[in-house]
Amino acid sequence: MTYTLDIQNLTKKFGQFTALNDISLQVKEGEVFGYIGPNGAGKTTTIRVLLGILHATQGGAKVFGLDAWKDAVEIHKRIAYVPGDVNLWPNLTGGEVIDLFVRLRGRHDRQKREKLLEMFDLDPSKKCRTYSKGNRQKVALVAAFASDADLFILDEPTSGLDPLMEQVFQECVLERKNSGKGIFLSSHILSEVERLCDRVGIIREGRIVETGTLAELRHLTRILINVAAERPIEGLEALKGVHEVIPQQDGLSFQVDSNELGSVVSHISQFGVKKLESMPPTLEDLFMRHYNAPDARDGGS
Amino acid sequence: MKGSFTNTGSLVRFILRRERVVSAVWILALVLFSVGLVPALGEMFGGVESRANLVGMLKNPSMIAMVGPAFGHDEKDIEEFSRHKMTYQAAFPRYTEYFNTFSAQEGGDTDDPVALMARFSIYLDGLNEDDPYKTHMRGFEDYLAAVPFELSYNTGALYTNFMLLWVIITVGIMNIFLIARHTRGDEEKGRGEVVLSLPVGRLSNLNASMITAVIVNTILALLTGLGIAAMGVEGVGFAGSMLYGVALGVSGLFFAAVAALFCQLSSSSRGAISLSVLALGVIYMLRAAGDMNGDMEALSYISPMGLIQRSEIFVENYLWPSLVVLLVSVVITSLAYALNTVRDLGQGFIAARPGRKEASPLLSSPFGLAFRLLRNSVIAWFVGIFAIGAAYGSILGTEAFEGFMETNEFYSQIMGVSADYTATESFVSTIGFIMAFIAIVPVLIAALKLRGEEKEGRTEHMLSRAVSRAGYLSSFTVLAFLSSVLMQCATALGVYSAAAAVLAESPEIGITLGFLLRANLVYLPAIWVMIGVTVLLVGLLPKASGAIWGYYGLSFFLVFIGRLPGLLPEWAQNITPFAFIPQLPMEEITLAPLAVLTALAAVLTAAGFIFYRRRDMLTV
Ligand SMILES: Nc1ncnc2c1ncn2[C@@H]1O[C@H](COP(=O)(O)OP(=O)(O)OP(=O)(O)O)[C@@H](O)[C@H]1O
Ligand SMILES: [Mg+2]
Repeated sequence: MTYTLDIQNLTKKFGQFTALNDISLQVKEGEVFGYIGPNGAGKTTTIRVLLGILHATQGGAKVFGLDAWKDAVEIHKRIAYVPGDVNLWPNLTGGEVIDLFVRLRGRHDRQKREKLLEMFDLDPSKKCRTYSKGNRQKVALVAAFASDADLFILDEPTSGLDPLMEQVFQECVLERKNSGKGIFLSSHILSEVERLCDRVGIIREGRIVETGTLAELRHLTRILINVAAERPIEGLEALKGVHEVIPQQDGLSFQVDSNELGSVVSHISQFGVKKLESMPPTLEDLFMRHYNAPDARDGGS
Repeated sequence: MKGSFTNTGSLVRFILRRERVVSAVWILALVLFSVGLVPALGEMFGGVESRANLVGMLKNPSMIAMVGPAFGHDEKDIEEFSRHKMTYQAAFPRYTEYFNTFSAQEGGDTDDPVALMARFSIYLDGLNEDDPYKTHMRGFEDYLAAVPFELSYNTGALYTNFMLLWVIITVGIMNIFLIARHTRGDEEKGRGEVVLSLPVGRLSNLNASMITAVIVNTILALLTGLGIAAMGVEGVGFAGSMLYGVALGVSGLFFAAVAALFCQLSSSSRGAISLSVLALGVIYMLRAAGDMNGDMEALSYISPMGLIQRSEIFVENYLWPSLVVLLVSVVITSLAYALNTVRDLGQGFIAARPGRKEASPLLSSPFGLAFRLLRNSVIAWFVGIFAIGAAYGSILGTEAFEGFMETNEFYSQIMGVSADYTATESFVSTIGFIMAFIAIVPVLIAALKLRGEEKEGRTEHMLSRAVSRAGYLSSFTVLAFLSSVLMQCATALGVYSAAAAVLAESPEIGITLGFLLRANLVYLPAIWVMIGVTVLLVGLLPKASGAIWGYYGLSFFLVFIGRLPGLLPEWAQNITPFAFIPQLPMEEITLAPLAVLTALAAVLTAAGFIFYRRRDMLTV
């Protein structure tokens, strides 16, 4: 199996500070991979190592089977990248910047450029100095999507876009996905990740705490249950996988690990269930747990 | 407007906090430099004779163009001095005998007695140190101390004459950056609006920046003044020292005000800095024109630099020029405040126009980008340097210059100043030196541009595309090398364009376009070493790459002070590559040092490339 991205035991230190701590990560061909984690977790740092902009302290990364540091130029011929902070040259126009970026990769598809400019509703004749944050991001997005890359690395590409443009962005990504391109998407917008990504990796404080498909990850999470019974429910706390039991007006609410759901339900059924509501975990819940809990990794298993 | 200045005080504290390192380094460097030179000068030129010799040198038009007029009642003083010297010389018992020996050597060419005496004087100076004549002359200082004679051109006056202008320029640049950083710079980085959203007045930030400038310049003035006075060198009195400090501080404030004004007018912080530095250059050239040309002396009074020089520090100690400059600064500051209240945040008075929808075919490689980013700056500097060259060139033809050629003879007779080269030639060599240091600025800007791109977070765009690091770095480096050649040619062409008429009339001066090109291009190896150091810094110590400006300043002052014979030890001068550049036409071109410098530049540049390819990008 060839991986588009293959990160092996990567550690990156800035002086004493460890930004990435022994992370390993694989992205398969044609896969859309969502990379999420709290601020300062190390997402951008990972991407910069992948791009050969930062030098790994230990371990390394391969892109298309090539070394991310040594073969950077070769790799970049097949990559399109949108940085998180789009800083442009104040005295060049958006159109000039897009052309420069596209030409640096080689082929120049004018029609595509015009189409994208229209889709993203961007005026290319303005100086970058006068662009708003969202418009600067559009410049980078147009340049990326106008190029015929095999892998798109997108670092919070929509953080400044309005909902309409967010929609356009998702269409563009899906179009690339359908034509078999790989996409590595770092984002804080969970609905976006949910809609676009095949697999997700969660990074926190420089460590990968979870990877898998969304279904797999959901499986690892807790379900919220509201229950009302004829008799008081006893012995619940003692069960494996039950958390945060809180008495309610007409019963109880508690959380349960999804893999323990069966045994818990059979336990409470002894007490004559009157009402049983279960709420599947949203992606938000999933992330909240990983973002907040200091021992997320142990708690999850 | 009500509450325009609300909370200025807190902002001042905030700015001072952000400034504590940068401004402290500036002040410390300036004070150490200003104060440190005083005892050295005092020691070297404590003697009347060496000082009188220096006056001769400073009377040279090239020195006047560079540092301004020498104050003190020198003409009268020197005549009197030379009378004393001749009297003392004649008291040497075997004077006639020596003269006869000398005439015999000369071959009896006595048609011009004045020139003969001058040559005799040189002959005497060239005798061995243990010669009886020399032993006799060693008593001259004691003799002078016994007669009622004092040179008004004292060590302090010499110091001021030599240093003040350049230190003012440095202080001016410090202030321009200070103001631009905290006004336009903050607006550009988006910090300005955060501050404006707080309960502060419309003018508070500009006002706080100006108050910071007042504080910084006051500290600088006090430390410099007290420091110089504390050296306790004879002829460098307390009042003069303090006035020297005040003159510096006031000049600094003036340029802070100028920067504040241009910060309102232009549409970017870079634009504001360029315009302010341009104003500084114009002010410098105005006084050069005024000082060189008696008919136009008014120009020197219009130029704040020229005016400040007329404080005649350590001679007359006039305070009024400082007061006038201070008043002018206040007026300019008020104007800046007025403009600040009418302009929008982040805007200048020149609105942005729509630009190209598509990039020109040139903009399709890292080199194309580097060219595009540096193009305007290179053109502007080329024109500017050509103009300054032309301004100097036009001086070559002025009456003042010819007038000097006559007095020069007077000096060479009595002072024993070597008359081997003409005033024109020495002038040309001085121009070459100053211009080379001006011309390095755009070259270093080009070499540092890449680092700027990194700091602004734009490197990522290039390096995430099919651009190699070497290719990226070399685009900017190649442009730096190219512009070094361009700028040196600009000087030669500028001087030639204005002086061509004069030079054609007097071919005996022997200054042709070819000569001017050679005299300026000979600086290239040293400039290349500076580029090499910059590339190395960008590759190896990116965070410290700004240090190249420190090295640049140091080089200038070392070469400049090196012109005072014997002040600096050899090794100190040799820290800078410019020490190895021959000053045409007084010195010959020898290939070896130039080749070594060029090789050194190549090695430094190559090392820079190696380190640049290895390091992390985006080190901010
Ligand atoms: N050049 C650097 N020097 C020192 N520390 C750095 C450097 N670059 C990043 N860091 C640190 O590394 C950590 C990871 O930063 P990174 O930019 O990768 O976070 P991120 O996950 O992208 O966050 P965000 O979601 O806010 O974009 C942060 O704590 C950051 O402060
Ligand atoms: Mg980030």
